[in-house]
Amino acid sequence: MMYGLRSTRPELHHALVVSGSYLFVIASVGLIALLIYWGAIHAAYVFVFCLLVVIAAIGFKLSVGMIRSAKLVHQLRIAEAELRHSEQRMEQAAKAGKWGVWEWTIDTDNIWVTNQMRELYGFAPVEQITFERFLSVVHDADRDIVRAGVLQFIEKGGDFSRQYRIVLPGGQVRWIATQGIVDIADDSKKQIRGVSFDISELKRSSDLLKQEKAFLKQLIDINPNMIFTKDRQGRFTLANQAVADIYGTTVDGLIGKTDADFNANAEEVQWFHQSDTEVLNTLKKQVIPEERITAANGKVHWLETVKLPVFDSHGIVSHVLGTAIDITERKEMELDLAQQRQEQAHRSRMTTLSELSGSLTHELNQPLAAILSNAQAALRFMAQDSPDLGEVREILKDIVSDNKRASEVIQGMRLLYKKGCMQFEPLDLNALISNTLNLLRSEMLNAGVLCKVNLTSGLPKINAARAQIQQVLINLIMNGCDAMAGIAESNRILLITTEMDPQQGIRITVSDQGHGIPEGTIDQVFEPFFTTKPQGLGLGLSVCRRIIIAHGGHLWVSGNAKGGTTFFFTVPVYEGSKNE
Amino acid sequence: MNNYGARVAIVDDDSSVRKAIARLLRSAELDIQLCASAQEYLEQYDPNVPGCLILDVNMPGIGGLELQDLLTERSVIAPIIFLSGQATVHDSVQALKHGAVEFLTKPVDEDELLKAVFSAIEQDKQNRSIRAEQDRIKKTVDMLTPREKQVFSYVVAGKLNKQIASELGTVEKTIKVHRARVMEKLQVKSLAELVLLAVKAGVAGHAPLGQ
Repeated sequence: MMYGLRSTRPELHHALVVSGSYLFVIASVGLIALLIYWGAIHAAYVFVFCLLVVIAAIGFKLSVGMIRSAKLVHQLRIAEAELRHSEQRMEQAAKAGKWGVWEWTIDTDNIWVTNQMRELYGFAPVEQITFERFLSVVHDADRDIVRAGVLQFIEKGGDFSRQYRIVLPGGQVRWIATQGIVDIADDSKKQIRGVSFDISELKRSSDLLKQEKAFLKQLIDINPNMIFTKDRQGRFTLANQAVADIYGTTVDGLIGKTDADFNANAEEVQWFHQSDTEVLNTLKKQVIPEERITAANGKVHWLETVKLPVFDSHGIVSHVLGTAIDITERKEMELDLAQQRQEQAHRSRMTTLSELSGSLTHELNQPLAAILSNAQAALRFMAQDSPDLGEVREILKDIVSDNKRASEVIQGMRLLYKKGCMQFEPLDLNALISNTLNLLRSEMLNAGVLCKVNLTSGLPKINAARAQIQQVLINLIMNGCDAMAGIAESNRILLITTEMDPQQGIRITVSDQGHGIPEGTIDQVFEPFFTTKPQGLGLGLSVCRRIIIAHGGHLWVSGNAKGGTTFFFTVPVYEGSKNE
Repeated sequence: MNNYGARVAIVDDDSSVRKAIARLLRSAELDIQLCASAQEYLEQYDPNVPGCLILDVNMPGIGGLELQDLLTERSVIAPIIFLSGQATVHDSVQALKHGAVEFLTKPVDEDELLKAVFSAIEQDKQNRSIRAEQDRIKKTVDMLTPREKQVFSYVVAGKLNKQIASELGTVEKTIKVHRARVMEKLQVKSLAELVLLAVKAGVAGHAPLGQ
């Protein structure tokens, strides 16, 4: 309005100048005519000329004004056309967006609406709309809230934004979103204008989304495996019931919290965070075959966990997704089984040892006997008038070596008696075989068996549990001796060899000249409780095979061409010794 | 110490045991013979050398108990002391039943071993003198005629002349003559002496000779 006033002032000035000039010309012509009538002048050439100049100036001024106004008219037309066009566009846009445009003059309670608005609300094409008429179509459940909202809005001003349901004449319910502003007109009459549009589709899809979300939540909650996502700080951003159960809380109670808030085991918490961070940093999937988690009740669970980085729509990773299967039961069974197997191996070793006890006693008594007699002889020599010190020195040397021999036997027995000795170490297999043969010397003597060895020298060390490999050797050697019990003593020859295996590690063979294993049962010898001996339990070879498999080797058997049986087993080479 | 020129054979396959036992015996001034196996002992055995045998039970080839039986078969009377590293009741019973002097277990104390060795040597000495006496008696008994041998065995069995006569189908007088000749040939003066000689010769309590 202010700008409009300012812009009209030069036009007024212009009109005053032109009309003033006209009045001046008319007055001047009148004055000239009077002067001629009165005869004051005869000819008014000079005056007429002056007037012509003024008239020309006016003409010029007028024509300039005319041109300008023509221009303005032209511009006005264009503006009008543009306005019309923009209105059209607005209308089209409103139509396309199903927007209804409205304006409510509060004083007269008249709501001006577009056709689109009428269509949207189901108003008749010509009826007058009042606030109450508007409220009448609003859904019963929303009406009071809408009314209160609008009244509050009128009082306070500002922007109005609300979503509500309306009921169409056919009973169909439609979701409407309305936005408006309060306008205080020049005459201080309040007006509200704004737009309304149909958001039923949007509502429906958001409801669907909510339903889907609830369903997904149900789905992950019903899953017995743990499912969760965490952010970089280790805070749960999603978790299912299984996670909540183990931590003794609710799903909602987990969100925003970290493992440290529920798990008292700092080591586990540290490990979880470490592996989460690794996934987030490397962006790689991580499979953790076994990890511990201490539940809220203090019980330790074992988990098999998979962790994945979660990419957002921009390709940025800020969360890790994990699922974990509770493998506690399986793990406990495995531990039980491993323990059972170890106990069985130990029992079998004890059986062997008790069978061997006589021989072992003999092996121990030999050096002890030598030591005692040597020492007593030395004492007697020393008691003589001129003792032979050279002889005494020899005796002492022998005592030392016999002592070593005795302690080796004890060491060997102690290792075999030891329970659960699955400690792997680099071992010289040839030395172990010699040592074992020393332990079994009397046993083989009693069985009348001659043992021949053909050990390849310079073999690399094996990675093995000493007592277990010795147990296998003892079993195979004693089996060999038993197998030859019924044949002529001169033929009772047991052959033990070691060599590099072309496929894997070191190969050991224990070969006897006995009756051999009956046809058709050779594959069964490694089965538990299979035995050909009347007093045998049939556990020896099955335990042996398990021991060798646990070492990463193989144990197999084959009949000899000339009678008898050969047992083979392989043991992997100790990795550290390959580089030596 | 007088050991009657006896030699102690040590038969053990374990060289350190053999060596140690030998040293102990030598410290007791005994003569030693070392054998690593039963075969070696059998090859070196000299019946004329007195002494005894310390024998291991468990040995490759011929074991200690087998050697004992072999020696009995060959009438070798050397007393045996068994020294076992692994004594079983069965082994010790068998050894003692078959005439072993002692069954000792390793490790053995010097007193025990030496006591056994000396008693074995003593036994060998006695065995040898008994055998010598037996040989002498056997030689004189061998001088008797078959009929005199018969009468001799009946007499020491406690039979009266009359009983002997009826058993042999002759008269009492003839028996009396045979009896006097036996007493004369065996150089005994009383029945008691005759019985003692018969015991020494090992004929007492046996079935009558010559049958």
